[in-house]
Amino acid sequence: MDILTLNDYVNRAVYGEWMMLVFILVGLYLSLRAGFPQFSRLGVALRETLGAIRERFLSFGGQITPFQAAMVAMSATIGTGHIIGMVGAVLLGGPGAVLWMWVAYLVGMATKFSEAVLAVHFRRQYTDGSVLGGPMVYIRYGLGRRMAWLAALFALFTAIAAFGIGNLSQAGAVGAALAQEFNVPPAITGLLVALLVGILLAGGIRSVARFAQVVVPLKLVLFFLAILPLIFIHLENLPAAFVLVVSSAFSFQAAAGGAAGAAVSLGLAEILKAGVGRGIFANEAGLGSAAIAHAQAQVDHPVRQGFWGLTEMLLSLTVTTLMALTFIASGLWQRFLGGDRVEAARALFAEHPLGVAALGLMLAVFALGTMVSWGFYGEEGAAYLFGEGIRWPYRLTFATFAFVGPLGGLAALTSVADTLNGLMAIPNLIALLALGGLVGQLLREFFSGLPWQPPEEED
Amino acid sequence: MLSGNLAEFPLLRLLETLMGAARGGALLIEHPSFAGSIYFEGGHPVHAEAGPLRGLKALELLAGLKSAPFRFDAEQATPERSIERSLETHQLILHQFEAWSEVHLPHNWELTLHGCLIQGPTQLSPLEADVLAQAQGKSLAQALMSGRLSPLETAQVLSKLLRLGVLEARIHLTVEPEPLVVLTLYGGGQGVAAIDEGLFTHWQGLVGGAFMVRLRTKTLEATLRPEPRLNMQGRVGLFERDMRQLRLSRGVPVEVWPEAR
Repeated sequence: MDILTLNDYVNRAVYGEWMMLVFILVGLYLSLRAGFPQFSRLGVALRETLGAIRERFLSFGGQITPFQAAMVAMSATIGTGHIIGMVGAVLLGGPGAVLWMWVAYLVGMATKFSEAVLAVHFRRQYTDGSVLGGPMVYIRYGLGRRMAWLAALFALFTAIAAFGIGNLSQAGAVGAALAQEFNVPPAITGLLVALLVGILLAGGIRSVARFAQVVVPLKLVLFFLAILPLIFIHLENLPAAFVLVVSSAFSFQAAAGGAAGAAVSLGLAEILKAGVGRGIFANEAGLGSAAIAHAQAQVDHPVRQGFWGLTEMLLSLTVTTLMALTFIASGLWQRFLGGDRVEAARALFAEHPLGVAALGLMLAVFALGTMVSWGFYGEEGAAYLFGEGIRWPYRLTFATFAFVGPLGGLAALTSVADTLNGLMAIPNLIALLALGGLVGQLLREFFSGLPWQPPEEED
Repeated sequence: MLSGNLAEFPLLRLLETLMGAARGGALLIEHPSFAGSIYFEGGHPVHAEAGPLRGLKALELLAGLKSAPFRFDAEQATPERSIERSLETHQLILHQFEAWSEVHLPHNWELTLHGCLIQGPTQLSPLEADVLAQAQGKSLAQALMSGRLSPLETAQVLSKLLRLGVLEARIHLTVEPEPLVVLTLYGGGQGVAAIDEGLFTHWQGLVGGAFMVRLRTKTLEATLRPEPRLNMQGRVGLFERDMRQLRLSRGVPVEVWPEAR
């Protein structure tokens, strides 16, 4: 068995049905341990985050504010998968996939909340005010010295995966969007992206956070500017689209049509896989990546940062839902069922007053934001493994790959990195299972008005 | 030259010694809030000064001092005569000392007087209410010297007001108020202001011990118990119940400063 065959085998496993089931079960377990914060504490979470948005630049004394940390996480999360990936999920699982995506999101909210709480609770703070945190740190210090290998494994997966999902895929998406819609040569795109990413990563977390606090609102503005005209065009079909989502959640049959022009029949397993898969992988809850960003926030209590995790999921859910419902309401899903997701998305945005350029611009900005945050995640993983000296070599390598991305090629590396991205979930989910009780305890303490007691630091 | 502190040589004993020895000169008392002096001729006090007070009123104020450095200068001549040399005067002076021994005021007359809100009904006479109003924000020494009553009478009323708890004597601090932003604390707590542990330690050092924090909004002030917490820079954490009572919400800027207990 060669390395690529092995990679394909592992890739199918980490993105397969069984792994999805593990994600859901861990999410349910964390929901139970924390008293279903996605429902019981949603009001407080919104008050503490969006309700306190005027405090977004007011720090608690650290390098970046809780808002900025959440923006770094959201910059990575809200990517092209929210547009193209969502269209793909409907094409694979039919309209009913959206309902299962919602379910996966609701369960994943507890996972993301727990990741943010644990990331802040166990993070290491250095005398210069800088912070190292994320799943590798809560695995190492939460599960103890004996599980240091698992923490190292997570850090290794992150450091390499960042070159795939966070670099080549995204740079490729930026290059393709700009070449297709604006005729920008890929080499020019690669050069500009590499320069931008290199400069931002060179500035460390402060620079990444400053970029994220601009790019995430820009992403949302671009998304709404792109989607609202389409919603308006298909407004009368939206109620029917919603009914279709519910009615076709368990089985779905189309007499004739689809990309192949034949009758299409989808069973529950296929619908579930498409919907739950999107609901898990679109928002990164369980992968542990967002926890690296949340750990950077200086805050008086980890639970307060956990609320940003909930809000982050809610905003991500809003984007994917609007995208899916608009696509279903347009009726294009019937024509493209089982077909190419990029073509389907282009057909949808062709109805936009600005044409497909709106999609191109949106995808380019989405991908760029994801790249910068993932560059930071990968760097943190590498720094955990090899120390501070690795930062500059990592940044330079990351920028070089960003140049190569739009030019194409390196498919094998992208595929391996994609597998490692899926593998990140395994150490993280093990730690979340083991530390779920602590999340519940921290939540109870927070709502009893007790101050946060960070764990004793060990070498 | 005779010198020392009234804490070791009470004024009454000093006067008895000087009178018994029939000395002439000036007993100079260096209180941090005012300068005091008593002039003697042949062992009899003939003139006294204490801040703006002169004569028997000045002597009455000085009789209440429990602690202050003093020195006796036999060379100083009397600048004026404000106290009559008579047996009645001697008896009056003795009476003043006796009356002061029944007044319970803090020994530190530099403490600042603050009115307090107290639970339950409190009946104050018009005279007491007047003294209370006059004393607010003044140091104890200032209140004793500037009242419409004599120092001893003022001291008697202040002593009662302090005992009732309608008045508090606190160390006067010149700490700049810290501009902080309100942060919500959840749970059933009340009367607590959670502040950054760095700020807590800094204020503790300034006050020199236990302290309360005073919180000022645009419309009102409140006194709360400080609680040090991690990572609270720029914030003051208040429990929901206090926030409702103070009509505050998260993110509202307030001014906070320490006050000695």
